[in-house]
Amino acid sequence: MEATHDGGLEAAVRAALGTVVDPELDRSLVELGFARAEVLDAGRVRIELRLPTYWCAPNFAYLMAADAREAVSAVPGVREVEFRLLDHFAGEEVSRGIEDGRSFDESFGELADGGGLEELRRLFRVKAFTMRQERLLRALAARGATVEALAAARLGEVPECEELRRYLLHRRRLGLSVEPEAPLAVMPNGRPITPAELGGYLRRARSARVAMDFNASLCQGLFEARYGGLADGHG
Amino acid sequence: MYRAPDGTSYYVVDGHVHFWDGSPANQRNVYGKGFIECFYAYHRNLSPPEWVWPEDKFQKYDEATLIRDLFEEGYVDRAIFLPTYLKDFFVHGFNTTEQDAVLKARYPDRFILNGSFDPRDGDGALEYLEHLVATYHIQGVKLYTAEWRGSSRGWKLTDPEAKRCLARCQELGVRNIHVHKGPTIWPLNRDAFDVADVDDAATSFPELNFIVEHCGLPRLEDFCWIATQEPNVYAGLAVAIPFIYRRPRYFAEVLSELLFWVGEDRILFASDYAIWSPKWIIERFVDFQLPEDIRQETGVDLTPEAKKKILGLNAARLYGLEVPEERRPASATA
Repeated sequence: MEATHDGGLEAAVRAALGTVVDPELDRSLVELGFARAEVLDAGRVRIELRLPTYWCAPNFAYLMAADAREAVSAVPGVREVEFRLLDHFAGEEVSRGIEDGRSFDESFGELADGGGLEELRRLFRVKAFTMRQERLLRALAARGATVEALAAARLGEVPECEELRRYLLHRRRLGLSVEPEAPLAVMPNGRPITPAELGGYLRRARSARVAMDFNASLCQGLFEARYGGLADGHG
Repeated sequence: MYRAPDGTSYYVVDGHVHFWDGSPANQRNVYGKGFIECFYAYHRNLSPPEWVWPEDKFQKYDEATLIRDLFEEGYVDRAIFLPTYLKDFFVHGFNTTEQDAVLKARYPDRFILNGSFDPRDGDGALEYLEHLVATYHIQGVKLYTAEWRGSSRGWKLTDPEAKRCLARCQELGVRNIHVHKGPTIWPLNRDAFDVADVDDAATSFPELNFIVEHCGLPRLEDFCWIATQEPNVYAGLAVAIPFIYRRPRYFAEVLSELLFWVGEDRILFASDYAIWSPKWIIERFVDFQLPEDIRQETGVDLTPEAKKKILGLNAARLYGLEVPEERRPASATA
């Protein structure tokens, strides 16, 4: 990437882009190598999105693109954002739609079902929450916590750890309480999970976590096969 | 048949093979090019290096290559053709029933020929289905719900036209419905990998078997849940099983979920040839063990008997294939 006049802006833009996640993989777009941003000249930024396949679902691409544009646009000093979805069957429609600030439905007309992307976003926030919860509870169980203890536990009783930090982030995203006295094990709607339910709940959550890990591995492998690794052009 | 180093024999049915033409001459447009390039990325990403083909060979391979890779070197006793038409992307279609039928005629004991239909053809879909049954005596179909057709970007098993076709399948004895649920190509707001329509169809048509190709990945958890409710839903291992080479841990995780929820009687081996070749997969699969921690956590195991069922006996049951006596597991003879 070329040196720019404003290293501070460059860093702020990258940091902003770094907060945007792939909703399906629950990982940062920058970390995955999918997105990059470049400060072209004073206040003008170009975002490029590259995905694992030519066929990656355009609704997911649209969500990520809109999030990326929003995050970068909010950086003080950014005046204008160019956006490109590269090497994708719907690249033109998505790029133009995002640059013009149109919704997915507006960009895809009758091909979209008119329901907007919020339901999809909510679905994947719930999935990500479920998996982060499973990882945390599984880690606590591995350290000796029983199902009964987990079902009775409050957030404040959980020792600081990476799994807890991630879990709290996803609780916040769903608008759930992160207060120390809030129950640890809750459904995505906030209802506490009973001791009788927890075993079965975790068993299903395991499948969801396995699917997400598998999918992340597949996507990253396809991305590497397509673009030759993360480092290339995504410094 | 595969004879393992320990002397055990395995009857092998490859549940998902293709004889395609993705060559530039057959590509109708940029989508055809994008389609075969995507397949090629799957091929390169998950195959052992010595099994990676040059791109032009991958776009279009010949009969001798296919016969050698499946039957002469690949241990496959029977291979199930699953057509994928994609006529909006490829001039003569990507891989039609008619193309597969040429090989079926030459090697009648080696291939199981399946058909397909597109419910968006309306009455034409029923007529085509009847034609395939009369001409080729098909026992199954491959349905590709994400296929583009004109301005349509796909369909669902729950569409009234689709249900009409499935009802006719049931009447005609076309019992095995292979449904592609995997990498997909339609711009709709909803989650396009959703397997909920399989749930509905499996309930509505209890005499039909629904083999979900790619076992619902990346929506494995939804697929597993459906399969626990519906006894006529099966998991096809295409795309999952080649992980055995580069990402064996992930393969073990996925397989353990399938064994736990779906069970060893409803999982089918599939190479998805020519994306992957059966030889290296079969050798590694027979040698494969679930890691101890996964066995402990899930309570399932991949026994030699389970391997026999997955590699061939389950598909043999669905298609009424005669399995040589010595390859039946001892407990299954009762």
